[in-house]
Amino acid sequence: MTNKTIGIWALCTIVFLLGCKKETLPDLGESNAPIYHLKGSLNGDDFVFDMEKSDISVNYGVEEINGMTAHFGSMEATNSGEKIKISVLANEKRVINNNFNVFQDQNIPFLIHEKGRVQFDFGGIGNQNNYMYLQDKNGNFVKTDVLEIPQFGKININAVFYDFGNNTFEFAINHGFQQHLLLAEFQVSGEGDTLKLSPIQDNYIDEWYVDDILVGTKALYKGHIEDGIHVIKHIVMDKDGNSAEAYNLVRYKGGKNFWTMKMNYLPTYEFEPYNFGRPIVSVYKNNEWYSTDLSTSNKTNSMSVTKINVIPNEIENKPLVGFDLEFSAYLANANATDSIFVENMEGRFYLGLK
Amino acid sequence: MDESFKRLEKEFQVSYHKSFWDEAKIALENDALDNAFRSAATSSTKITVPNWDNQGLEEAFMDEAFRDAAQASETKYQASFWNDFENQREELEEKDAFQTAAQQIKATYNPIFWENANTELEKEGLHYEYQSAYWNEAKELLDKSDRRRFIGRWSAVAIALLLISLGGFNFDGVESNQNHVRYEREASLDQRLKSKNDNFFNIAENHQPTRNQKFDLVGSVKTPINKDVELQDEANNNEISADVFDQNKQAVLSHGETNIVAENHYQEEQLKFAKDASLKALDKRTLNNKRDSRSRISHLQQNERIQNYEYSLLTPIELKNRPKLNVQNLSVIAGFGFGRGYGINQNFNLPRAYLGVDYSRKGSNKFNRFEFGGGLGVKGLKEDGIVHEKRTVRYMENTNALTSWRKLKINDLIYGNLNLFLSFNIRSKHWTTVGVGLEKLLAVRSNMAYFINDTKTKNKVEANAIASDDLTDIKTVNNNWGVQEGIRRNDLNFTIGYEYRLNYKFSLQTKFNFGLFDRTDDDFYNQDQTFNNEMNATVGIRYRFFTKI
Repeated sequence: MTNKTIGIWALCTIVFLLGCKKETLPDLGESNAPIYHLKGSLNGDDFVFDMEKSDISVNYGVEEINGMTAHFGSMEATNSGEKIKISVLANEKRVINNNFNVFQDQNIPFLIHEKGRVQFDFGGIGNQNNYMYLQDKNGNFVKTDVLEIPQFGKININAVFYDFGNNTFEFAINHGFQQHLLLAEFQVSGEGDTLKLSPIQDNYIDEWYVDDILVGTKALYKGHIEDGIHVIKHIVMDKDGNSAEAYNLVRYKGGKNFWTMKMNYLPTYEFEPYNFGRPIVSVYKNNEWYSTDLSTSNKTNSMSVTKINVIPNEIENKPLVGFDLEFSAYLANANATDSIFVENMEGRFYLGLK
Repeated sequence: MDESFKRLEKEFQVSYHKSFWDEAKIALENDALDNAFRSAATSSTKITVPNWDNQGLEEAFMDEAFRDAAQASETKYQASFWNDFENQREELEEKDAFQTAAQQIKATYNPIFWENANTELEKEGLHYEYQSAYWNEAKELLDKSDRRRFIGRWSAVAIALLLISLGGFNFDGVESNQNHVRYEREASLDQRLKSKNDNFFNIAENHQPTRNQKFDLVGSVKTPINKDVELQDEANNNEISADVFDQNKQAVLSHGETNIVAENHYQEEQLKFAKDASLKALDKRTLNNKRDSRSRISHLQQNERIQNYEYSLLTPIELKNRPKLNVQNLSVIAGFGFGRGYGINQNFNLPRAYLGVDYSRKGSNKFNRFEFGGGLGVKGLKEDGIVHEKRTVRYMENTNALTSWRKLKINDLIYGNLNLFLSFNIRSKHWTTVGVGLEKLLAVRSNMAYFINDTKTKNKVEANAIASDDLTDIKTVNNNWGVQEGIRRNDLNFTIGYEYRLNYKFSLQTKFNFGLFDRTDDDFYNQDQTFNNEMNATVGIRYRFFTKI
């Protein structure tokens, strides 16, 4: 074989070797077990939510429950339609020193709605109670100065004082969420037609609203006020962005303070006054929701949470917190006609932080 | 002189008359001439007695003159005369003896003469061991010579015909009988020498003329073959043969036939031996039965022509002190067939092909029916159904489930093969082979598709949505040579085969080959736990491109 022939063969071999595609098998990485899962029994039947199942959808974030901010996380089995949702009412201070503060303790009692009854007090001045009409759940104004609150939460109230006119005054009260850490309550005083407002707790950022108009951002407010009934709202914020608000009504008449409304709980019902950070577990089954906050049987039950881990999830800008949990609880439907018992539910779950 | 005159008288039939002598005497009486002779005889010049050549002396007409001259002259005898004669006595007597013997002796050839001659030749270093290379070289020369002669001869004929046609020659020249016969003799020799037909005795290929050679068929090549031998000069050989054989035997080559006129016992013995030899040979084509051979022998005795002796000596006759033949071959082998699938398709219908070279060496002595050797080659396997799929899901803390997957389908496998084999000659051209080899995976051709889901991919997904496959990121690679996972790299295999040798160059082969190990990783290829060893059956050819003896 001549050198020329050898050269041609060598060149062909090199071209063949270089021209052939030589892509290696890609590395897929290793599979891992699902991080979040729940398993337990529901009325004695196995109740499992596992992300390995192809039909599981996931959701998490922040919601409002009866006007109160809550963190939630949910799994839905799209094939069966079953859902499980865990909500935890936001703490009074959700963020402390730039850290999310979701759970106040390792064992957290469930939030169970309880009734309350409040009476509005005007100090007996001018029989204002006789002229107060409050709007009921049907939208009708009823002459009363007592309000029965069925569930915990922030209650929006519309009131009319017919001796003054037909104007509706809107304000809110928090039932079951008594402020302990972030106090927005305030004192009202005045001299003549001057309104003076002062917080009961200082070192916060204050915002004063009179009839929904921001009138001051300092701790103390002093200003002219016209005769009539006014709604005053005070919002306080701390350096971590935690906020609280409080409402009140005042009446000025003849250029001076006529009355400042007070709200008093009547002893008709006993209730848990501080429900910040309490969980609510809801299960959607048989085309209706069952939740723990509707069953008074959970008064002695609590949820155990451990291995709390905040996941920033900066790429998606959706931070969440993961935690191991364990609980047993009764869940009742909205009509209180049915209940289910979730026993020994354990696993790892998640709550949205934003 | 008197006798001469008497002879002449007889021839011419002339009566003698005294007057004839008187006239002759007058003519001869010449005083001047006489004086000249006398003075010459008495001169001091010595005349050397020449060496007489006996031949022709009897016919010399000058005997009487020389006698007279001898009487008149004096020559001194010298001792060297006798010495010279003594020195040449043996030679003179020898020549004389040979002549006498040649006239009297009737020599009968006996094979032992050859043995003795052979012995003497060996002693003198004139006996050359036959080697096939000599024959090959001679054949080359012959071919060249034949070619030149052929071209020259027929060019001359063509030119002559052309001249005839052009010049109108009335060509009447026919080569003499002798030349015509010679050409035909040479032509027949060409055919015989070039013939690959083993039907002719071709001692050059099948035998070595040793001292044990029992026969020597007339017209065959029995002289040592070397470059100096002009094999086409068969006529000379025939003449030499004629010298050796009995004068009653005549060996004439004509028209490719061997005419043997048997008139004596030697010829019968020779043919009988040849017949026995052919019967020992495996090829039974020749001399169908002994009856034929015997009848042929009888025909020989009846001075009949024997046509086309067909002796096949494909298997060398076992002779005493037969030299060892060391035949080595280099061959190219190629073939195709079908084999079993390794994957989902386990049927025996997937193509196979191989190409390689091998070296073989023939055994000697009692192992002359064996061949052993080794080979190197490549094998190609087409597969169908070897599929790998893998899917991984990485569950993230942000609740995302990143799914990645890949799919691989094997199309072709190429193995390198290194093997050893042993072949056995069943009979004639039929061989069986067993072998063992190592196979190493060289290359794999496959099609591949994959999708890698990572955080970068996730960004393309809408917020709050579960991570899903983005079809634009699926990669496909066809005819890929870069993946060999899951295929066994090395294997040990065994071969059983049959070979039919068409001639000393080409063979047809059929093989059954099976491997020892499972060639696929069943876990990797998501298969049931099956033993996927290689099994295939192929047919092919073998071409011996180099032979050395």
